[in-house]
Amino acid sequence: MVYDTDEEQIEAIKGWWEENGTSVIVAIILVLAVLFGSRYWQSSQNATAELASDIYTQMADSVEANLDLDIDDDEFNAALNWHSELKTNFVNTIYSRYSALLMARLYVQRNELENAANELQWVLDNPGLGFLKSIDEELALTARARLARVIIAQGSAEAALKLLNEIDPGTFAGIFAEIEGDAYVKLGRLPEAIDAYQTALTIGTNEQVVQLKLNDIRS
Amino acid sequence: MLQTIRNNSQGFLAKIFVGFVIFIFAIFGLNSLVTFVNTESTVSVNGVNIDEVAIESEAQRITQDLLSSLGAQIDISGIDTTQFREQAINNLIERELVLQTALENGMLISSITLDREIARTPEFQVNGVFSNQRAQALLASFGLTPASYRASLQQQGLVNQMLTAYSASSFATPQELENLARINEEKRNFRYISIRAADLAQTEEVSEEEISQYYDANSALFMQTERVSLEYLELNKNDLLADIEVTEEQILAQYDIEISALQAQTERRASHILLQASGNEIEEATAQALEIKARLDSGENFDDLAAEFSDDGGSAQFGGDVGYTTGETFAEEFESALSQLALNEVSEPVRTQFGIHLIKLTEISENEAPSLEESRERIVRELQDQAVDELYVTRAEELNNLSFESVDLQEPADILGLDIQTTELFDSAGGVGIAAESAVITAAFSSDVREGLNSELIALDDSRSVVIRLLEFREPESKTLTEVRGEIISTIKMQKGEEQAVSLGETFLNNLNNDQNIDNLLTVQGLKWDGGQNLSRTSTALNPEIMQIIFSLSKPDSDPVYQGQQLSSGDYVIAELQEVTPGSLDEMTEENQLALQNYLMQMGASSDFSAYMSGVQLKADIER
Repeated sequence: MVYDTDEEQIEAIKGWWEENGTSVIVAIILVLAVLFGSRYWQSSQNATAELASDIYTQMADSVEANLDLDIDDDEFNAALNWHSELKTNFVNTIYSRYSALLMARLYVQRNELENAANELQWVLDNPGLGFLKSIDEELALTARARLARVIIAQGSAEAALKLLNEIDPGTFAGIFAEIEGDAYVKLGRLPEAIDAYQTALTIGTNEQVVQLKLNDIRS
Repeated sequence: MLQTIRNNSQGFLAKIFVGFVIFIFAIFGLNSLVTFVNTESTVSVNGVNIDEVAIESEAQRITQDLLSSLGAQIDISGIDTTQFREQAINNLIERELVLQTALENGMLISSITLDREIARTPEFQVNGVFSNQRAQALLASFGLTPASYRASLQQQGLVNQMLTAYSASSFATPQELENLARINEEKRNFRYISIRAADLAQTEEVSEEEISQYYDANSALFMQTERVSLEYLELNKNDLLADIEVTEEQILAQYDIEISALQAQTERRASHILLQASGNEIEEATAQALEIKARLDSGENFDDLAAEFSDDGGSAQFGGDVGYTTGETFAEEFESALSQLALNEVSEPVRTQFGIHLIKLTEISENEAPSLEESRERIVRELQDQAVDELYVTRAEELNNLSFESVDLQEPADILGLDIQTTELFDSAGGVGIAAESAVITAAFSSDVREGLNSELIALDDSRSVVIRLLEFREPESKTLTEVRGEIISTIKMQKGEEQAVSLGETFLNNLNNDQNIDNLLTVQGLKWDGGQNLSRTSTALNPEIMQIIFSLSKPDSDPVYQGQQLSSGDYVIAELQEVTPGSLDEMTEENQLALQNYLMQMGASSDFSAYMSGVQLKADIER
């Protein structure tokens, strides 16, 4: 469009503004709101993650530094406190799952197998994380394998086998096979145990230990 | 990465920050930091490119690790690190995957933690207090900004959090510990008979018919691989000696050089009487000097006359002594006159810029020059050696060039006056003479020589080199019966010995299983039981094959169980398992229990994390 004079041009702009001004302003406000809102959300997410990260770091350092046979009560209680804090206030962070894994280890070491099983079961039952409920599938497989081992130690080899056979083990096939072997040995089903151990060996999982266990049941 | 997780025995923050400098090197590499340019490689993980510089420095780190594990302190700059490239790429891909997974899982290292740990880093401290200035300067010297350093700390922290989640949470259930203790600490009592096939083989007879049958049936075993014989020209320094002539002039020239070198080292001590003079005083001073010289010649003492006449106040009272020289201390005329003097001889008047001197040689170091005749033999030999070396190099070049240009060895042989020599046939294992030299063998079977070309010059050692050429090539062929007769006889004997061992062993085994005593049979054969008491699976006291037999036997109820088996050596072993004592945790020392627990935990962490990473890797989009 060509305007003859400046006045005409100004008139045209004024007309357009009267018609569309409100929606332009609303649009700008909306864009800004989304922008700042998401930034605020992101930074509050980060702040949450940072707090959880610090708690987890303290807990992991403390647990990892323990290389003794026993866990004394002070260490154990400190870990328990950190874990409750993560599980209560930061349940949407992965750090609460990691602290559950650490707790399971401490419980096993104190021979409190039921508590250990509960922690691992909790990880297994709550795979979704954050707003989008994203799932770390390998973490779930880790928890499942470890839970099966605790269940065997509790004397329920059948239940452990059931737990392992529920799903596709994926890259945990060798690990599952070794645990299945252990379960079959407990049940006295040696041919199946031999098969399972051999599967683990073929995949190349924990070879030294599996070979020992295989030699033992073969003799 | 698995190694990392196994070694994960310290707190993770400690690990991040203690090795500050190492960490910088590991991530970015030393060389790269000076001129840090982001150079993209062809490797990417889910669209994130792996830096080429990082790959190179990771490969260097692997090399360095390997070297230090070998206990060698070698400079890696000269080593080709490309062979570790694949491994370096794998490591970096794994690290990137761990990092991406951590970010995907919403993990973060808090800025407070980063601040605290940066402040704690000893390298950033002055007198134990964090110095911002020092930190900035140090980072800048590595080509880093505070922001990029924080980012890399953040990354390393995340990787460590992930690793720790697996390593620190790994466990061994009490049942698993007990079970492994039972197996690993199990003790077995047993005895065994070893029937040696080689011993039995000695008394076996082999008939002609058996030999020829074996030869016919196993012709494939008796193939002679391809062989060659060579003709060659050998250049030898010793042969060149005859061509060397050393002239009398060369010997003299060399002798002169040596003598003047020797003189340069000769130390002389001088005394002098100086009559200071210049211009028209010279004549008078010379005349006076001649007078003094005459008095000396008539037996007067040099020291006294020096004290009386010398104008050199520093030396006059000390017999005119001016100390030592190797030829450069005094004025040229002075030195020249001094070098002509015999010990205690006094010179004629010598004129220097200072005036007129009478010089006396008072001491000369013992470096007496050897006479020409004493040195002649050695000089001749050295000159010859030198000339031979030069001639050898020239001839070797000539030989190399001529051989290259000629279609056979005749022409170079004629020109250089060498004889064409030949070798016997030999295979790739080599033969005798030059055919035993590995460089010759390699060349003999090279494609050039196989096609009938002259080889390049091959240096055998410092004084010999050869050029070779194919004389005869023999395709693989059957060896004749005569050639392999001895070999066949010992093979058949050994076979019979092994059969004999198995048959004897099976007889014994049969008797044992029927509760019959075999002591007499053993005595006849000169065999006996060997024993093992309380041996565990891990014992290395016995042949592992025998240990395997023992530990594969099932536990005896009350009577011993027997097992017979042929070993890979051909010997036959009969094992008698008497008693099995299972191991148990309680019987282990606390130290060993702890070691067993940590071993199981580490193995568990290692296989869990490796399965975890395989799963992540499977889903990732990796380009390489």
